[in-house]
Amino acid sequence: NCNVPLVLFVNGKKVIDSSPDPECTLLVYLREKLRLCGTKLGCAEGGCGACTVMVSKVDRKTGSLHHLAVNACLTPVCAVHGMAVTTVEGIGSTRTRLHPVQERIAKAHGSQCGFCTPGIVMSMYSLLRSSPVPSMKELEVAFQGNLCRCTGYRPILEGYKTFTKEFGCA
Amino acid sequence: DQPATDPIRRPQVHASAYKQVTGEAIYCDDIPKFANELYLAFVYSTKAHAKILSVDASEALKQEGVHRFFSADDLTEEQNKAGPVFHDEFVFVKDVVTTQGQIIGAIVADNQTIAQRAACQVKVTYEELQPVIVTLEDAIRLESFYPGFPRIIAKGDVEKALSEADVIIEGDCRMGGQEHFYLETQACLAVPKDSDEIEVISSTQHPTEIQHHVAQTLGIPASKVVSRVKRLGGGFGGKESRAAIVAIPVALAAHRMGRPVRCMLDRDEDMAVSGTRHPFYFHYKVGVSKDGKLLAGDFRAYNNAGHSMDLSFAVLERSMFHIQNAYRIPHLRVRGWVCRTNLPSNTAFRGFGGPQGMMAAETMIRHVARTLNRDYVELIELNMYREGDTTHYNQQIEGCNVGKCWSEVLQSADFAKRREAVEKFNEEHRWRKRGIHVVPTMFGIAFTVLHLNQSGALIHVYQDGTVLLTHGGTEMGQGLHTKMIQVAATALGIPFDRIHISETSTDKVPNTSATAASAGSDLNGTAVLNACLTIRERLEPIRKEFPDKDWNFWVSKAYFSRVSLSATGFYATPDLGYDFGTNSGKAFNYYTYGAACSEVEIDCLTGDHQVIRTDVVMDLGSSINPAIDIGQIEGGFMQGYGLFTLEEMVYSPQGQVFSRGPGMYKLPGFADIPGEFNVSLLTGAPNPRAVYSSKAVGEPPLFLASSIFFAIRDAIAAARKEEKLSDDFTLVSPATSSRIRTACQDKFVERFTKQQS
Repeated sequence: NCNVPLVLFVNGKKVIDSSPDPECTLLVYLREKLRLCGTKLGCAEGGCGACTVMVSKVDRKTGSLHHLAVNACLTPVCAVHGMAVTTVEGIGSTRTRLHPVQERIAKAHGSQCGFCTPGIVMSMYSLLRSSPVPSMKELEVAFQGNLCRCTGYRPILEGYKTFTKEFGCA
Repeated sequence: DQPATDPIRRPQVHASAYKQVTGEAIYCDDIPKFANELYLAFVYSTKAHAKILSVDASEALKQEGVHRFFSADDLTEEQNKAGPVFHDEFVFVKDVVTTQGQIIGAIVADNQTIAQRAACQVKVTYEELQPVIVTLEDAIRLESFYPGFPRIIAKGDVEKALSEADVIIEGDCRMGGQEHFYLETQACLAVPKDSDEIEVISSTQHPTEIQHHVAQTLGIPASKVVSRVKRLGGGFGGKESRAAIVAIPVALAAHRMGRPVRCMLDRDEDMAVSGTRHPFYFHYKVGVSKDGKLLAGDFRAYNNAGHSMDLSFAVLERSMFHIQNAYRIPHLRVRGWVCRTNLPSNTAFRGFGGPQGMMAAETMIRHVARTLNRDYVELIELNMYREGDTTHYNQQIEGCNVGKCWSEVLQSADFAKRREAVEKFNEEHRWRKRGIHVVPTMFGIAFTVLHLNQSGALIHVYQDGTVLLTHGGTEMGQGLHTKMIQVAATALGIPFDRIHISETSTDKVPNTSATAASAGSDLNGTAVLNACLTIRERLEPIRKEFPDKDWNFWVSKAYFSRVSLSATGFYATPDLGYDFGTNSGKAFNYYTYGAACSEVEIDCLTGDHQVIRTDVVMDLGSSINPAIDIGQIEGGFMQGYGLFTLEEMVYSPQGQVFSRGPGMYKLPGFADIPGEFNVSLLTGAPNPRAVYSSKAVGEPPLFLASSIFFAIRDAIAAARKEEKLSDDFTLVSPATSSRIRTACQDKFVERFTKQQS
């Protein structure tokens, strides 16, 4: 049925596109169409995680809600029909308030050049949405698809450790 | 007794951190599109060495949305010249290509998709030429060197001292290159203005160089080119000179077409065309006394420059300056060759030849220790520089803290006890082995090219008392702007948040040097300080008259008294100037010292390894911002870790770059950091030679990751001992899992090597 428009939600706002380009990735759609440039292009092959966003969808069989961190550079925008996309702009801003995930990475000196930061923030945010008090192990797994060339990672993990079971947040 | 509002020496958070975590921070490609903007895509050579027979863009130009094709035909010979030091490159190559990935032309179209597709349709026919030189070994065999070889630094009578030595040790050291992998690739947006002006916004460490290149290619005065940089998503040297290969064509297209033009390289393009750290090959011959003193050394250094000179000579020179790392060798000669190959032009990378030179020194001293059957730790302590020693380039070392860092790290890492524990572990395990190792470092701070050691700043104080500051340095994540605000806030006696740095631009501070050589905060810091002092001087009479009033009052008073509230600041590092001809004059302003101890565990059956623990002690003088400096140490260390163990650029014998993305090229990830990572700064060691007694930090820690390389080597040696094999084996850097596995020779490796032969 080719007359059905593409419908998705981005940061809670409904987006309806009656002629979406099947070749267009979610990343290009976010950056060029919606002008949400917090999500970055780092490699376009799913290896660096600079384009990480959260996709939320309802599992039709169980009716339960799933939150997934995905690579926007590899996700066709048409593949998120009926789903909700959350980008780094969707969880907090300096004008309103920062999300704890944003605040902690900044204050822990986990952002140097800042180009990988939104992706890492969204990996952490997605993890917290599915596992509010994750283990250190879960945290490390969540970042397997994120690269940072500046920090040496330690301060990022240090800042985010404060969310974990091991830190005593349980 | 430091006031709470005085930010100097405090762990102030990066000035852009809050914008970066929310995605509000703007990078080059985030700048909104102009309605009439066009996109540019490059046509690259696909051969490493070939004659161009024809370039046919007619098919591409027929596509809807394609506007124009630029090539060498659009420029005069003079305009087409490029290259940072020597103009031995072209904006658009013509006649003969000397590497794959060389820019032949550019398609300008409505958008990125159309431009890139059309660029693929430009037909280029070649006649392949021989030879295609890829490796250093080939280049050395064919004597493919850039002119001016060998570069020489020599002190003492090396031949005589060698003949008098008790033991002569000869060996070599080979190191691979390294892709920068700044998360933001090379990018540029050029906007034409009226009266031939052009604004070039790019991701570069060197806006001034972009300005001059663009002016030359466009045939307009530099005064009409404004080159701007807000921030970079990483640079690491890769955007010191190579940013120009993108910026010049983009500016040309914008200028000729009268419309804004943009281009941001895809990762595969960036990796294939923009060059890497220089691979190096060293040969050493050293003479040692019976008791282990280094008496004489004769080194040869070769680096793989690729198809153009770029900064390769300066890289080679820095490797030659650091060829002895932290060791006194009274008679020392080092000769260097820059090899011309058919690879993309290699360029600056954090360390700038230093890590490679120091790697040769550390390989050599361990070789000496093995030959003399001595503990390398003892040998290092015996030969380490002390206060007042003179280097082979005749610089006297003042404030020599390398020994302090060394003994402090041995102590804080509990080296002696853990070394025993490692030995015990190795006795108890056959297929897993551990190694623990210590390495010192000593990094010379200053550009080795004299005139680059200068900088400027411009400061405006507005009527509301807020300050807009700018200086020559660019912000690429190192927290330079943050430090500069700290310097200015302290100098002016106002809080951090009253001062803002918006960007770096050639119309605010002209003739700047690249943000490089770790010298960004030294140079710009003093320039900023000087600008602030000028403002302070002008406010002084008012301050005296109204001592109980505050900053805002003084500023307002000054304005109404018609006192200028804008000032420039300038700084040139004093008494520098090394001369190769006479081997005299000061090469460096001072040294940054450090030492690191790392413990690893390898899996002898797979070649996998883990870093169990690393301890670092660095001498950063009195740090301007310890949080940023520790971040630089950790970040630099992890890049070094990638260099020495994980990252390997793979090329085909025909010179094609195979490593074109994170899928093929493995840089350190979250899971690769040391299980325990302790970094400390040497205390009570203020540096009188830089702003607020601080020291440069960017590059020096990187080499310390070689402690992991040598710990791995120790672990391999322990595995080889099980098979009664000698510890005199070659381990080429990077120590990848395949190299680790094959060096752990055993019955399984034998089977494989038999099969191969």
